[in-house]
Amino acid sequence: MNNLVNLNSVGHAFGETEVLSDIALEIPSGSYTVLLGPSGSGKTTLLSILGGFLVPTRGQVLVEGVDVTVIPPARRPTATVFQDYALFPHMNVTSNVAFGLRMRGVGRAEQQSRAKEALQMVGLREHSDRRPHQLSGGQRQRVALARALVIEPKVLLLDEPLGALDLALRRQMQDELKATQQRVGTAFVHVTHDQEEAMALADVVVVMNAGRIEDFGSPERVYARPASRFTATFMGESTVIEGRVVETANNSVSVDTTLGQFTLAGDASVGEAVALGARPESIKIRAPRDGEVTLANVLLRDRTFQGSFMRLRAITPSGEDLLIKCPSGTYVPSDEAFPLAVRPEDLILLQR
Amino acid sequence: MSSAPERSATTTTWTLLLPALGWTLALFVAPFVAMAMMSLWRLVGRGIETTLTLSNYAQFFTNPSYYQALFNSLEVTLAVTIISILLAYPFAWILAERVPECYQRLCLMLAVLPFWTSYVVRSYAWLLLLAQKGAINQTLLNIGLLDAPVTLANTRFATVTGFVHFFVMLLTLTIYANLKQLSPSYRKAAEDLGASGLQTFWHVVLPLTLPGIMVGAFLTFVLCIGDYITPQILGGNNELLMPQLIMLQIGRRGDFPLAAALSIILMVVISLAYIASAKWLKLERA
Amino acid sequence: MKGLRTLAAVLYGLTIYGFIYLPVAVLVLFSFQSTRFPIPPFNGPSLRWYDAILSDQRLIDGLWNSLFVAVTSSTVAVLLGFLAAYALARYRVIGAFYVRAVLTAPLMVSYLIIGMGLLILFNQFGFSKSLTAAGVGHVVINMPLCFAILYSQMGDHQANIERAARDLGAPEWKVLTLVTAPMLWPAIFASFFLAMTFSWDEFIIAFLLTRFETTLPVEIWALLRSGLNPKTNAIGSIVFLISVVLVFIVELVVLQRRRT
Repeated sequence: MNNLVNLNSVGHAFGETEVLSDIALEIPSGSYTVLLGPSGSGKTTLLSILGGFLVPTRGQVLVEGVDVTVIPPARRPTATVFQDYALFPHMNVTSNVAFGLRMRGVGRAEQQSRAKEALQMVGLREHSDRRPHQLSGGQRQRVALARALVIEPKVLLLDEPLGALDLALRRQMQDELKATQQRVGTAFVHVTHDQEEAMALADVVVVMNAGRIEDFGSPERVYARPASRFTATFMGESTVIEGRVVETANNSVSVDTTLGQFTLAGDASVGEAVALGARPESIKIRAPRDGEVTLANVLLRDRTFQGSFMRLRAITPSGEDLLIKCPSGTYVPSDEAFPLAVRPEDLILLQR
Repeated sequence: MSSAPERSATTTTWTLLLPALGWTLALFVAPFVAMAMMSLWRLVGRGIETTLTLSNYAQFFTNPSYYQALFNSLEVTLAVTIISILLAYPFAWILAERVPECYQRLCLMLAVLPFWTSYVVRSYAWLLLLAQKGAINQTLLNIGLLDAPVTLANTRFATVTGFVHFFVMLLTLTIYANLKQLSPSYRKAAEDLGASGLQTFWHVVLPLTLPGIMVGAFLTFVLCIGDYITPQILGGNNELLMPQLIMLQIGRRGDFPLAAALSIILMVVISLAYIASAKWLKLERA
Repeated sequence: MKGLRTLAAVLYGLTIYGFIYLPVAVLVLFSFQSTRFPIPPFNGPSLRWYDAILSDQRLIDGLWNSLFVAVTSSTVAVLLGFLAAYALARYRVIGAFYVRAVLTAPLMVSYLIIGMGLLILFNQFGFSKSLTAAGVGHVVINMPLCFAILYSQMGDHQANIERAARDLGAPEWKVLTLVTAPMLWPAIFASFFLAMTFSWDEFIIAFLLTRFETTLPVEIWALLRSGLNPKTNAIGSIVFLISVVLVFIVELVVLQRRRT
């Protein structure tokens, strides 16, 4: 199957500093892809390369099989929604949205009707005569979206589009973005540092760190089985314990750690230094039941109330810090050691 | 800026305020009043008759050589403003966009440095260049481009050149400042939506730098129309501009009433320009 | 294509720079003229005209007068502007908007008209033309600028520090002199410097309001009456040099501050 966008061995350096290394990525058509990473991970640089604002120092960008690596933004089938929206302050909303059509030589009447249609789709039809400074942040965001979509790009690029909005508005806009993408069918590539946003929106999440891709896949898979330590702790929280492989068998490994030996699914070589990861909510505060093993016996160190759940920090006899999440109101002994149980299938083998 | 001050005015406040306010009222407002009064009096022989009369204003509106001076001033000022904008914009653009960031401040300073000469001396220097025997004529004669010296000085051309020389620098500064504070996202967005370099400039950059142009144009207008030195040194007395006409009245004949009336008329013209640009700025904000 | 555009940009830029520097170049070059007229051909460098101006007592007097008028009028302008700015920034004054409008109004009026007004007023009251009269006029044109600069710099940040000083027991005048003024020294320096620049080079008001003792620009003007004279080149070049040196000093001071 042909992917819509292919990135082959893309790398980029600013002078001496390498900001992207060896990026290989495929973006299927009609998908919602999220580039997730902390600042400095290179996600925005990658987006700029996709959009044509930067020519990568290495590698190729292909859209529908055509090499567009050096093609400028004006002639690329991509459109970008900028972080500050970049709505032209001297034009009203309709003129802003119609701008791309105007540059393509579309007739005035058609410009107006298509612009109004796009505004209707984002729910801003009544504001078509307003100027950008008269709109709220969320409304401006929608105008920027309409302006980019009205020219029917093959890929829509969004650079941290919801960063400037408050939490409630952000949630609402996330729903709208997802709905719009599904309705319009254009491939979206969305850059963010907010892992909750990534999980809510993405069909495919690409986790980036220090210029490399750490992991990619559906949010469910990346969350349940992160491929690297970084992914395990950036995308959601994890408890991570270091260890060494002592035995391997068919599709399972035994790892020796300071908390004891654990057998879990995975492939590795004997003697390899690995880590065990566990999602905080998969660790139970009780003795193990059928199908579970004891993770450790710990003492409570810290407890934080977070509304529907509690975050606990517990310390093992050997000094490890473990992160646990449990429903609010769970009884947790505060002065004595208590056991933690976990299912072996909830343990994640982290080799990187 | 500060938020609203919290303490109400006391005697201390007014003690602090009085010197500046008093000075302005006594030495700026009062002279205006005196000048307005003077414009309503008349020069008779060697003395000033203090009966109120509008004869000075009448003189201005009926005597062609008088109102011609105002037209000359307006024409020259308009020409200077337009030429300076046309020359300054590309220059400001090159400084803001093409010169590497680290050199921009230096380049701006270099552009402004020559204007640290005395204003009088600078106009004189243009005379040196434009005179019959001056540098330009001599050079062109020597290299054979001319057979006989061309009259460049004591013409409107010389006055306009002298003015443009100064105002190109001024407009470069205002346009440069405007260009620098434009967010680069606007240009990226226009490019992304398919605009060529020229289209981006015409549809996005130019409209958004209009405020910088207008501020510069307004300053140019006010400073140019009230200037005496440049037209006097470079334009000679063939064609008179308003400031020259005003100074002429004081010089020979000591006709202060007429000079006052002419000054008031000039003041009105400047105020009209001020109101027009204030209105335009308000429209822009809305 | 890109190379062609860069070439065009460079050529245009150099042309404009050339246009800007042309008069100054001619001025300085022919100040070293050895013959009578500051026009081509250029005859070997000579300092005779610099000699001539140094022995021209009128010019030297004009120079000192300019300096005197500039320093005194700028000091007064900064002082009045500072006090007014403080009053309006720190106290609620009735009709503050109108007071500010009156104080900044002179910025809108041509120097010629300000000078004319003062000349007429002084004549009515029998004040004769003098350097003081010119100085007074310079305060009128410079004070609005100083006021505007200082007023815009008196923000909340400074207000809080002043409040702290008052809280520690300082009387108002001490707050002004020991806290506010030092904090605002860059703005005070900038407005003083700007006022000096405008006063030093100002012609029309000085021309109208002085008679026997006069400032340098007016003396130069008198020199111009005698036609093209390399003496004018020499004095112009010296004034230029002084200004350039001053600008570099200011740049150094500003740059030093930025580094600390």
